[in-house]
Amino acid sequence: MINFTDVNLSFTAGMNALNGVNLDISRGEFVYVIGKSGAGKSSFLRLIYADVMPTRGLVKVDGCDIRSLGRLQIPYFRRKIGIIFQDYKLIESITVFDNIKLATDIYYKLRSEVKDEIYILLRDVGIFEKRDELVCNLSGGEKQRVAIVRALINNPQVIIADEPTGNLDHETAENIMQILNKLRLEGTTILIATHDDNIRQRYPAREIRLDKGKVISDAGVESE
Amino acid sequence: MLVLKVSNIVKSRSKFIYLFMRGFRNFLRDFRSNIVTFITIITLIVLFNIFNLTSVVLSSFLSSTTSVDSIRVYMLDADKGDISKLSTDLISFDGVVDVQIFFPSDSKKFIEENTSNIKGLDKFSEQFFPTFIDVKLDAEGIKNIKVLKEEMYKLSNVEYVSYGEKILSKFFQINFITNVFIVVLLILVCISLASVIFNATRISLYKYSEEMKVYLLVGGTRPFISMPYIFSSMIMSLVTSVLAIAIFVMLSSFLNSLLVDIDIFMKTPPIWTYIFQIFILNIFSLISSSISVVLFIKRVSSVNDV
Repeated sequence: MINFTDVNLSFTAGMNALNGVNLDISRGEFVYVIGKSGAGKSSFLRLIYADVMPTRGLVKVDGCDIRSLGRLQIPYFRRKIGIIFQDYKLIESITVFDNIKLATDIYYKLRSEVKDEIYILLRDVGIFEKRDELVCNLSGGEKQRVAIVRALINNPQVIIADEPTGNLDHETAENIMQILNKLRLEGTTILIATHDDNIRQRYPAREIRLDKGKVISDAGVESE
Repeated sequence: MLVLKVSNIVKSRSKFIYLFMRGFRNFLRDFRSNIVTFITIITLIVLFNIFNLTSVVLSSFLSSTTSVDSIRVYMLDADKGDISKLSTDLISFDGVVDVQIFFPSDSKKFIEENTSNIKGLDKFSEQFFPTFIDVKLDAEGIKNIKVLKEEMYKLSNVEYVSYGEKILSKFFQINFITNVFIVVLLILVCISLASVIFNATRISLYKYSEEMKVYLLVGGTRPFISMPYIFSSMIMSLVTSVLAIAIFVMLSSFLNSLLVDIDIFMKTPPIWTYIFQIFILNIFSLISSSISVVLFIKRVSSVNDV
């Protein structure tokens, strides 16, 4: 599903955010990307959704080399991926429903066409009652659930979550992980960048550890 | 194959309508914050039309003042026999419908009747006034007035032939300068309108930047993201230009209704000039809003900047 072959990424000359990364992630796999701040976790994830291009090497997602994508093709490529951020990236001044509806707008769908689908997902994550609330009135955990529903609404093949529980208390983080774990069981490929050891212990999965832009261990096996 | 083509047309039409409706929603949402822009654009267009009306009125006045339908032939010797022969020669030209002879006494009388504020005219003796023949022309004669003038010069006993070309050329120059002024003004109005629309679009885009970034995040294409904002700007410029012209037409009709009491009627510009104005202004608005949107989207192109 996701293949990195000798991938380097540098934003400034001589400073590599990623350095010679080689790995394969299969369809339906659940993967933690771990490491200290500045280890290259976010850069690794950004490569997967083609927000940045590798300086060297090959990144393939679902058989598609991201460097071969033109500017016009990137949006279509991105539709395969659902992205969840630590800071949610929701529009605070509009309702929960409208925030999720934004994701379906790109398919020119009308409100009436997506209403049922959105309601089902809102029920699944337990915030159906909040559907008409403004996002600014929600708690952190509720906002993250909205972000999850927005990431899921277009049935992505891959879910990328960059520190999804970073701003949440333990109980809310546990709820979010339960939702992601449910998706894993349904066969969605999930990549989570996290610092949270408790979460990793509660929901064990493959762990890719990065340090200074290099993969220093994969699934607990030292690579260097 | 045909079914596929039809379905593609229906799909793209429904996409267009979808984006247009989003643009219309944005237009309604931004209406209050864009009031200043509306007023600015309306003022610009009404001012331009006031200048345009002035130019049309001036042009109409000049063309009625300078309408030429005769040539004057001045003679070397004003002998009665020569006058009669010259009259016969002149009437034989194609395009000439009538000739009228003015003796010095007629010339003096003509000036007295058709001018004002010439003091001491009565002190001049009739001998100081010329004898001339006023040659009336038909449409064909007016068309070939320059050729006729040359031909009349060739006749014997002719001193000078004129149809007032020196004054005409001055009036034409005034008319030309007025038209150039109006064109320059139209260009300036278009540039001002484009700048106003550019800035208004940019300010609106800052308001929608979060929405735009979310669309980039979930895979919205650039046309999908940009078109509603462009439509919104176009609706704004279309509404304001139509409104401005409606205000101006009402204003000029009202002025005409006041002037009609003193037997003056302002000739208003033809309808096509208004349609042309709306077209040109909206083209400028389309270009400026497109540039504004494209430049803005370039700035928010990275998902991670959300």
